[in-house]
Amino acid sequence: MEMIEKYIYAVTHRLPQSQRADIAMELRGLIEDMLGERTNGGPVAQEDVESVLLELGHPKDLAEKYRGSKRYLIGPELFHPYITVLKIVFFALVVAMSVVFIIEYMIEPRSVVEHIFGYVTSVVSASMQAFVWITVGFAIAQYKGVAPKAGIAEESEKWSPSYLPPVPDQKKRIKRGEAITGIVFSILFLVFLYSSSHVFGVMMFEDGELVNVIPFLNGERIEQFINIIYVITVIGILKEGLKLIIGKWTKKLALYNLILNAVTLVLVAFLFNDQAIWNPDFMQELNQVSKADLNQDTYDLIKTIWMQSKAWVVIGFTIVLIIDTVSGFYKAYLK
Amino acid sequence: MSNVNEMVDKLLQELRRGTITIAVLSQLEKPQYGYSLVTILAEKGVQVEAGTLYPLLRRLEKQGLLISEWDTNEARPRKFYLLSALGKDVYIKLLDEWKKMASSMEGLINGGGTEHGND
Repeated sequence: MEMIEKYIYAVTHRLPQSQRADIAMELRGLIEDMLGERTNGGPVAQEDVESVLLELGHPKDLAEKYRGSKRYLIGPELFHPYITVLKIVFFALVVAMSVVFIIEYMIEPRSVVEHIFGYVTSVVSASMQAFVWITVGFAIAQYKGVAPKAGIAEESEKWSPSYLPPVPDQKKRIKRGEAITGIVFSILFLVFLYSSSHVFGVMMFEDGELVNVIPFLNGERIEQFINIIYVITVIGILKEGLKLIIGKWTKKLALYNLILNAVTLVLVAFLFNDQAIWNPDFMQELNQVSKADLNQDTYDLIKTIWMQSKAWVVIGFTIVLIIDTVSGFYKAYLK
Repeated sequence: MSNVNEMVDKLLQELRRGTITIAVLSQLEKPQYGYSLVTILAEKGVQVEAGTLYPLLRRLEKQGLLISEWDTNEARPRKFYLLSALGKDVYIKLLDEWKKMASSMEGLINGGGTEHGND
């Protein structure tokens, strides 16, 4: 009977390859037995088959019983942090994009429709991107079993109350606010670099109105490196997501933190050590715009600051990441 | 009223889940295939759906309580299940516990609660 084969296929294709043939054979036997009982060995009608299959229930449910466990893309234990990260990221994206929108509007109030259009499309597309990546990240975490039970699972199978980990020290706990701030900064980093060519720079005001922005960075160069910038952002969010999931500093988390920070540092260094990423005409533009006000001394001073701050960006990043890594390990090993 | 029925159904399902294992083990001193087991259990008043029993048999086999063998001699190939040595031991212990539990429950339900522990 064709319908029986369809049913068996519907069940077995949801099962691991190794069990399919055996379960198929078993089900075929079962269905024949059930049919035999119904018809007392007489001819089998289509309705009999249907009623037997109805009795066996939805193929999905039967397959689930055979598997013995439900499968999740993102399971119940990860769902809450997943939603939290999504909310924070969306919120931060909207805030950052809004800031960019306002600055753009202030620079060019006339093309407001264009700005609004750009604002909406970039919020939508960035949100989609964020949604996809966060979901993928959490799905991997689910698959790899990075669950909050890690605290106890690290110990041996035999359990005694004396193994209970101490209530995490106030210092070991990861406050939600900390992780949220981290995510917000990652997003700000992305959005400001992304729109660096027109909003991230020295803002020139005239009569209280923003007339010009001298960008710090070279927009063309940024565009070439945009993928690296995405990766840095994703790593940043991933790191904070892990903190939210694990909830306290553990050795494992400190190690993840070290790895992610190291990768970030390499990428940041790569990005900012390339001199071409900085706006090559920065001093010139600054000089032009404020020609009247700058004497030679001020010009030199600004130039020195400009040259030095280029170097300090990488140094600053290095220091912050080292402090972050070390404090992670310190908190993880804190008794 | 439907609320009561729903609640009873739900709790009953949980209650059954544990007892089905004992019911199955009790009938497998002699080899049986899945559907014959459904019939035997039904005759003795234990209703188990085939869709529940077949996966359960597989799980018990995986846990080492049952051994199985395909009988392909007859017209219809059937997988027969039988208690393993481990399964027998487990069943005897389980039965002991079940009897204790049944009598404790009996005491709780009939005795109003305070008698247990006074004897």
